Amino acid sequence: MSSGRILVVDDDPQIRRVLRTTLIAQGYEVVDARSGDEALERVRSEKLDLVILDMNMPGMNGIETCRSIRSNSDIAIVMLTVRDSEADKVEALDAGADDYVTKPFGSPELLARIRAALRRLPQVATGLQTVRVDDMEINFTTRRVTVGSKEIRLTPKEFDLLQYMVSHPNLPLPHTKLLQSVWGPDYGDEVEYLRVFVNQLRKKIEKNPSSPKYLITEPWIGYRFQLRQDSK
Amino acid sequence: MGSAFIPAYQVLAPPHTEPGPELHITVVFTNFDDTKQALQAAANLASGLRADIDLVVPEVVPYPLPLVRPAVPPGFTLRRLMNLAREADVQASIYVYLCRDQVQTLLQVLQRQSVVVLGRRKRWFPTKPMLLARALRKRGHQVILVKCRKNLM
Repeated sequence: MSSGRILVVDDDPQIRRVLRTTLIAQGYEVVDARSGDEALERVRSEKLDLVILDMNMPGMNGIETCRSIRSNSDIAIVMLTVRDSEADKVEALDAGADDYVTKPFGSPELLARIRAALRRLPQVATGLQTVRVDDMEINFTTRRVTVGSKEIRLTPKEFDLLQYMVSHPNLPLPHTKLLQSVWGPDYGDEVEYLRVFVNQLRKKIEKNPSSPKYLITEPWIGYRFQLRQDSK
Repeated sequence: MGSAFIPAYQVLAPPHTEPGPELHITVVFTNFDDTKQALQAAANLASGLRADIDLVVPEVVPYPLPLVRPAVPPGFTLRRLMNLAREADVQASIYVYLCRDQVQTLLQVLQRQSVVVLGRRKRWFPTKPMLLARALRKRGHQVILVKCRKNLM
């Protein structure tokens, strides 16, 4: 199993090649992009755990790309740059980067920073956790949900929605945030779609869908996944 | 008292190769342009839900005419609807009902807590689809109003 899926964004093909080789050797899956626009497209269309982003790129620079990614995604971002002034670091971190590595860098340092950034991600996002709530078990690796001894059939979208909600337990999740996180950044107004999906999920996982215990409606805001404190 | 209606025609979509659908999404016919966009929205929704799409057409027959003889022959309407589904690139089952009252007919033919998709235009006044949506919501159906754009072609 891969340790994570990483997007390398750099206009320099040599750096992309070196990073690809290094990361694949460490068990990561690697995809790359040559520009900020291509990176945004990748983030939108693929499931990624971390982005390594060069700060100086022609066209959309690293800071703008970082801001755009961060506005729609909680993915970990590590910036790479030749500049190491305090102002540059502050700018990158303020744009939403999780960490900052100055070129030239050694592979061990970069790998350690990647591991640290991935550790800080919610566990569910890395696909390693099983969540048990009462008699319901959600396995994020195998994407299976069982209630009691019965396996529940969820569509991929229903599972993605459940996964997102379970990874942010006991928090009111606004409609827009849910739609953009599960369906993509082009969505946001389709609240009625969300209602249909949540209703379907309730029918499948709740004992009494009309009086839900887990998928709670937050009036005028969105939904909340109710997880008891003793659940793992 | 239930309003009179006759199920005139139905064309069923080809059966699934996978286990049966878990949900039926009903698109109610309003007009050809808006229904085409509603069908596309329903297909988008259905793809994430393992759902089937039903296109329900409550065709109102005015009182001077007998219920079994609408002004437009149902066969002709059905052919246009099949073309519409083909143009929208949606595999939908089509149900045509001849009736006197659209809302009453829908309330009788829809299953409990159905998911209904309706095309609508943005207007400042309540339009027919909006009033229909309100009536269906009152009866516990889940209605999705799809904002439709004018077809300029």
